[in-house]
Amino acid sequence: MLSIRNLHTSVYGNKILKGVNLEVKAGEVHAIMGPNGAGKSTLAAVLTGRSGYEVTQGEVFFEGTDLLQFSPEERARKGVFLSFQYPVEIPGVSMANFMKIAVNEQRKYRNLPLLTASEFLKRMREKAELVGLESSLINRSVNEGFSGGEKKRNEIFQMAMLEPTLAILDETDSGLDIDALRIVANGVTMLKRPDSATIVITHYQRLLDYIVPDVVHVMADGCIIKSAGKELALELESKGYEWLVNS
Amino acid sequence: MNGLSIPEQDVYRFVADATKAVYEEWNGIVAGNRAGIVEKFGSMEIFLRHCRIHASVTDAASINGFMLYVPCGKHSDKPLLIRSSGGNNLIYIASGGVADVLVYDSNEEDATTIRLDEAASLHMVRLQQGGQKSVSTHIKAWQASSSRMSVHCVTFGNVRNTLDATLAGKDAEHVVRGLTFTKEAEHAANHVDITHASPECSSNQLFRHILSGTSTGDFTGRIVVSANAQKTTAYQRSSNILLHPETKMNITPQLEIYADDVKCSHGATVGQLDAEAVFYLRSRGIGEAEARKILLQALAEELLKDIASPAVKQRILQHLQIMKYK
Repeated sequence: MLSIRNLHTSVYGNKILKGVNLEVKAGEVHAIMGPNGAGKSTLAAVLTGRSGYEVTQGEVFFEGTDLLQFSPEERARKGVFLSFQYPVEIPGVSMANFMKIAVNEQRKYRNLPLLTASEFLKRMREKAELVGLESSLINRSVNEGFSGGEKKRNEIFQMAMLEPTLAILDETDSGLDIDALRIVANGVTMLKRPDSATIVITHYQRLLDYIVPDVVHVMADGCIIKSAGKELALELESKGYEWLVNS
Repeated sequence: MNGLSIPEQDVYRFVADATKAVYEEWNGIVAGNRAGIVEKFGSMEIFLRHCRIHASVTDAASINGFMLYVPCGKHSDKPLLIRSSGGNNLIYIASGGVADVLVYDSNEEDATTIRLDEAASLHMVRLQQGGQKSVSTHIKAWQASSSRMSVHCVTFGNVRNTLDATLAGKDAEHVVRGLTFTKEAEHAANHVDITHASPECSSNQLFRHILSGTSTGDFTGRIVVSANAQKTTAYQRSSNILLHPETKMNITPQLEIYADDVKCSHGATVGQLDAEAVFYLRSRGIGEAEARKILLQALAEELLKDIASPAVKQRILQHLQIMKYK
């Protein structure tokens, strides 16, 4: 599904990614771990088309097409989703209106019939319940005045609404207490489909207790330096990153 | 103005057509142009005496535009939609009277004298479309004690607006919102001058210019709190969005405070659309132009949210949606 080959990326002239290779197949969950500054969030930014990130070398194929040629909205419509590390507050734009436009833009792109108002409301209620998002938040402005946990839950709610093919969760666990973490992780697990894949970017192993990865990658200094099964996460938790980075 | 159609049953309509005599009356509320009033009453002076308007309020001879009179305690059950034809207008609301007014389509110079007697209320929405030539309006308001006035001014293009308000009686309230769009090489200026002449009054100004192309904007906001106007509350904010690098906004806040027990503040900001918010919307599949439009709409709606009449508010919002933002 996703194929990243020798990806190099600069941000304002600073080389951040220095040859990332990654293969993700449908149905898989990949975890990317690593110390601060390793380039994990940069990878998420490049995959979703954030401006200011210059790809200097390498390529990214998503379902057989060159992903990097597309705008952020085109990537989203093709099924790429990013759960933001820092979700943005947008005063004056209601969650309901935002999601209605987003869902229908994506459906239009995929030649699906647009949702009627009642279908849409029904879907919002179902998905909010699935991720434990209080339904009153749906009537508020996007993330405005949401607590840290509510913002992260709202990201997973949006993921549930948009049903992406590839979901990238950028530090979705940061700032969550253990109950919120479990709800978010269960939501992600329930949203898994045989034809979708998930990339979980995280510092800590604890999220991976709930979202069990097929492959764990360690990123350091702009490269993936080790890939192994889920037991690698536990090893990292007890030994830290030092032994890998310095070896 | 194109796109501004409100169902007939939701409003009373008055067209201040300068080419003929026009006079309307609903539930004791009078609207007419000079010719219409003269035809009905014999002369402007007789009419003003009939309304018991003090000679100091206005010079009868100066009124050549429309005149709106709300008698004591009267209030309109529907908003009044007034199509101005320019000139010097008068809005007079006697004690306890209430009016909800939408004034639009004045493609020329226009000056409106407003007088609110004790406990009178005026909620006015102005919609202006500047052409090649600048639309210029001047509102001069005088408010007696416990009167309430709100002005929501939505303008597009070359516009020059001046608002002078005097809070002459105790506990008067004045709220003004200005939303201004300019594009290409247009210029829009908003000047506000609010005088707190009595104690316990409040005023609240919020202006937002949204500029694209190479357009420019000016905001001057003056608040004067006279020595006896203790317990005044006066706020002013000018918060502007520059959509293109060649746009320019000048802001001049002026506070003159001569009383010591007051709450006054002012703030001015100039910024761009939040790039992070644009990316957030795009990352969910919303196109860039649509994302920018959604954010602009939200910035615009912030200024219009407390328009008193739901029918008027609805139409203004619809009007905004069909405008082409750049």
